[in-house]
Amino acid sequence: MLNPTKRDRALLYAGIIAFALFAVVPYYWILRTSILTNFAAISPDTGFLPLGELTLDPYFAVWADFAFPLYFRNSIIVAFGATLISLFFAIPGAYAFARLDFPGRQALFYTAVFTIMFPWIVLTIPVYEVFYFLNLVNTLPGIVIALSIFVLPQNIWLLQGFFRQGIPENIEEAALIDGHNELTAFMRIVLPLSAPAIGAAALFAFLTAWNNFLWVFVLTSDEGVRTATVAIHYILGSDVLREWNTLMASVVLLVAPPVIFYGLSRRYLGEGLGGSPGG
Amino acid sequence: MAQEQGRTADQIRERYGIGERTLTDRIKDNWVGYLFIIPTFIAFTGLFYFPIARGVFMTFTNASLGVTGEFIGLDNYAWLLTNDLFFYSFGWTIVFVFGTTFTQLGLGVVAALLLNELREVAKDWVGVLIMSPYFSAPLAGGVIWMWFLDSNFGFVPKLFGLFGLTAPSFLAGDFWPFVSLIVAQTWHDYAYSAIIYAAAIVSIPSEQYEAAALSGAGRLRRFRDVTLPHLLIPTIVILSLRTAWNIAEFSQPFALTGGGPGTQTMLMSILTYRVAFVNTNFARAYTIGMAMVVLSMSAAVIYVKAIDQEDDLYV
Amino acid sequence: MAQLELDKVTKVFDDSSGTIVAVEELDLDIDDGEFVVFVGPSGCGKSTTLRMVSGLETITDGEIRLGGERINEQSPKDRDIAMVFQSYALYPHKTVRGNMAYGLQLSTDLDDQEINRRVEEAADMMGIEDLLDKKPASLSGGQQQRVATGRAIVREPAVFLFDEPLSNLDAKLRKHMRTELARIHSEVGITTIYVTHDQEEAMTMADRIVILNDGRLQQVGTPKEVYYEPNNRFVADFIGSPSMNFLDVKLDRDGTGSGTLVGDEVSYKVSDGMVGNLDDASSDLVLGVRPENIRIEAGAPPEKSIEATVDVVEVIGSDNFIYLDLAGQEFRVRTPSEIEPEEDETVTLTFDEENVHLFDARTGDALVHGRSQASVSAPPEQSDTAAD
Repeated sequence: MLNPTKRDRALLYAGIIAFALFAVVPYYWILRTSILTNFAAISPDTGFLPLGELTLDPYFAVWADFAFPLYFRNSIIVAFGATLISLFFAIPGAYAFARLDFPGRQALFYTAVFTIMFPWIVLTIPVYEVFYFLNLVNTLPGIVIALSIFVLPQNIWLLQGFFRQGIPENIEEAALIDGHNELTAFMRIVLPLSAPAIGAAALFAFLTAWNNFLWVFVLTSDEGVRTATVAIHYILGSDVLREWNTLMASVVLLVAPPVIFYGLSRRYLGEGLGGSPGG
Repeated sequence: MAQEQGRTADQIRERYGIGERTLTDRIKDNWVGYLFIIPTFIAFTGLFYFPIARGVFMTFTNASLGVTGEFIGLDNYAWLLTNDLFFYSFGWTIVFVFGTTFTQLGLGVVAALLLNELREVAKDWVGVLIMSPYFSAPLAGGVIWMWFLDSNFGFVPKLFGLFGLTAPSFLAGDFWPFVSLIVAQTWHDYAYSAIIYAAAIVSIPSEQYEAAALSGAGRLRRFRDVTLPHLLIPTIVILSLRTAWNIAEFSQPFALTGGGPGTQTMLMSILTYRVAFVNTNFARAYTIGMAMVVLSMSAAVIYVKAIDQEDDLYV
Repeated sequence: MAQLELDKVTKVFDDSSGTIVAVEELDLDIDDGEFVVFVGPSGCGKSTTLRMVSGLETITDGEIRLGGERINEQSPKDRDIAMVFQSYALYPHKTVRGNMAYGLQLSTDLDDQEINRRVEEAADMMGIEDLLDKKPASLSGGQQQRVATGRAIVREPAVFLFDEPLSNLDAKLRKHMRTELARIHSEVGITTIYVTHDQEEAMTMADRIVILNDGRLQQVGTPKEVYYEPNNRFVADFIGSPSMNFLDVKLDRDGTGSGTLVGDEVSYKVSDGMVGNLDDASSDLVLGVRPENIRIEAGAPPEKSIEATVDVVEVIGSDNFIYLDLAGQEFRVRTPSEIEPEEDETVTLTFDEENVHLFDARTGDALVHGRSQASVSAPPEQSDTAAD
């Protein structure tokens, strides 16, 4: 950072390029396959940069050959539902964690930390049992509820970080003195100020639910309630003649929204991403 | 100034009648907090506390899909301790978690340090590029790497071919599948530690570097004396969180090898899934899961301790 | 009629991290229109008391009455108060006008025209007419402070509460706002409680100063009273800058009722009037004398003087602060700027008996002030002028 020499600069760029290649080349490979003809996709003669053989047909085939409109529709429905429900729970919860004080807050907060780090595959077992008795298995509402649990800790994490730092000190108290009570102060002062953060949390909840495989996979067997993520898994495992280009086009469609949206809003979010659990 | 020191909490409580306060009084004083936390508490109870408790209870029964089961004592644990596949997957999970967590940590810190040297705009866009794997669906990550490494159509074998070499088959045999899983998992999640480290590096006051430079510290020394101490807490945070999440990881390895060939790359998460939803033996599956829970909760304890010390609960 | 009475007001914080008495049995009557300043070190309970008055903090025990009426159970909005926060707590999404009008819109049924008139009147008083349509984020710290104060003025409440309102401003602006706030108080004449940790701010602004330490009341009085007749060693130390010198001494009486105060390298003769009424039991004393009451005087009578070695001379322009070494302890003297002894020089210090304060060494309570013995118990006149 102070007096960088040319050699240092070269090393820096070499490092950056190495990382960029590591990150992007696997993406490139599915993108390349997704814009080839099916024959070219599996031909060993096709080059690394097959500029002459490009086609957008696989993207049209995604819609025509498989039930992807249904899968993507399901993805959108469950991600949207899970986002709404989890926000409904997370906004007051995060606010309580960040700005209110009451006996038991600390203990509850620590258990929230534990839920973030809990192995979800283990949790699916008793939840499946409960859903089985409640007839929620293989239904969209069941998936929505399961995904709401999945994104709830992440939402609480994100929002409480914002409530802690993004809302000016004492502002609720000023509102109390100006004539609000605790509830109206929250609704009329804190919520309007939080709109951007809630928007960001909603976006991340949506994309996390969209990306989720485990819960939908465990809770569904009917094709009618499959999301795109799970559908891709089933197509890969099926014995039908594989149309690799079409399949990769669907993977591109699956991966593109989160990568683009996360990427665009990365600056806004920074380390807040700490809450998104793997799985 | 005449302060009577050394009053106990009980004496104070008695003096001002705090001990006599009923539960109702306490709820009345804190009703706003409880009102706001109640939805979260209900959600946690219904979807975490109860299921987790129910699952632990399940391990002492022979519950399976649709059957509540009967109490059978420690039979499931006895079964677990005599099960070779469990021990195999336990060992491989440890190797997998160790390998992925540390490579993710290492790549993350290097990526964050390199990015920090770039100018603002470049930093943002290159950052988005380098971080992008983290945001893809983990299942898609598995598919992407399966295709990337595929012996017939993959990029890597094709690259070997370019130099006249024959690539090993990355998803078969008794060595490469392990490496492939760790590399793919590293690819998907190293950006997490890069993000945390980048935030920590940005928050280091530049005066500290200037002061170090003025006192004649070279680049390496500045890194050791200024940067490194600020990375200690983030490192503990990343290690514990990523350890827990790598233990829990299911989708990407499931898509990449599914535990195969055979049961060769069987991770505990995949084994839990197989026993629960293929063999529909819920009780035994949760018993396997208990091993994962113990491992990740140990990581969680370390995490809580680390963030508690820093008083920075929202890292 | 906005007389504010605090009657044995107590606040106990009792949670998992411990049981702490933040304010203990505080009794205080504040008259209508009075400007009272709470002062003390951080954690002394001054802000907690203010927050109990505002209703933002519950009251563990005791009673607060406003205009004779108990307000313990009233929520903040029903208490007819307005508060200015250290952080200003302006609503970032509202304009200055919106910030100032908000309280009136919420808690009164005034029409928009009347609200607007009052907002503009208050803005005029604070000199922020030009800022009315701006958002807080585009204002400087001083302007935000004015808006926050304006927001309180608009309400025309029974009591103004200020919680360290000037702490976030730079020194020059802070002094300016100090006079500004004093001027506004004299214009609107509303009962005011003002919390600060800065004793100079307290001295210059207050009708009466309330000094707190460890949750307990140390003294209530006019600036002159707390300066000239501090109740105890804590108050004597806290008020005044540089702070009072303290010397551990014993009283040697002679036959006539007068005596000599003797300590390490110190011996100071005091008259009968000063120590005649002192209990014989209290022979362990602390002698207190303010730096500004000490003179460097070579020819001073030996029984009324002390010798000390100069450590450091700090020139501040109008005066010199001289730090001396007296039996290993720091001793502070404030002299006119033309008196500038050499470092390491041994000088003779003297001070008048009327500037001597004697404290009980064990309890810290003040036993006798040289000045009050001279002017017996004539009540010091009410005055706004600075004591220093």
